[in-house]
Amino acid sequence: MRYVYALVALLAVAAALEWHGHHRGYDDGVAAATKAADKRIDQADAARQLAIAERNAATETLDNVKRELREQKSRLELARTFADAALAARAALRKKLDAANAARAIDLRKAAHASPDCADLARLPVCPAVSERLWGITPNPAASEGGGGARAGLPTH
Amino acid sequence: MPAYRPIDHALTDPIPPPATPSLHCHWHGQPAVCALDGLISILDWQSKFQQANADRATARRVSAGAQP
Repeated sequence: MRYVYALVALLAVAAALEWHGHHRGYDDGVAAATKAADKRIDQADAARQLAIAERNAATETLDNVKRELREQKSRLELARTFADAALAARAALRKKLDAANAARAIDLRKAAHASPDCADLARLPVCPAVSERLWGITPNPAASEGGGGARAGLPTH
Repeated sequence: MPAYRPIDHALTDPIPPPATPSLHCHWHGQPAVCALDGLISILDWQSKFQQANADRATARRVSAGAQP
């Protein structure tokens, strides 16, 4: 009978040891699996953070580029406005210049015709040599037609 | 400032020369230019000269960009 008790006790001890081993193994397995899972989660998290940071940086760069282009466009618009204003001012200035010069021409003619000292000038023809080289007008008594060859001003090119 | 548009053709077209003076005097029976008219034509050339300088000033302002 004592052998049976001893055997049962031994079996009980063996069972206890077996259970303890399995328990420890199970816990270790759970811990290892959890650790691996945590590691993967941390990696995924880090990758996600990195992607978010890169996206933010790209968005910021894009915003900067857009802002610079907007500023450049507004600068060009402003420069164009000034250029248009300058051209408009030129048109007005041209009118003023033409009016002033017409007035000067009238005044000069009046003064010249009014002054007896200029009467000789008014009668004096420009000699053919000078007239031909200045205006292309050649009064030539040997020419058959009456007008001489009158060219238009300077040669254009 | 970079070129933002080509310069206006009004500023680069050649200025037409003033007309030749008319023939009011006579040289040996042929119509000729009076010396007075020749001198007065200097006025026309002076006005063309002023136009050219005004266009130059405009071109400088057009290409200078925005000025304060």
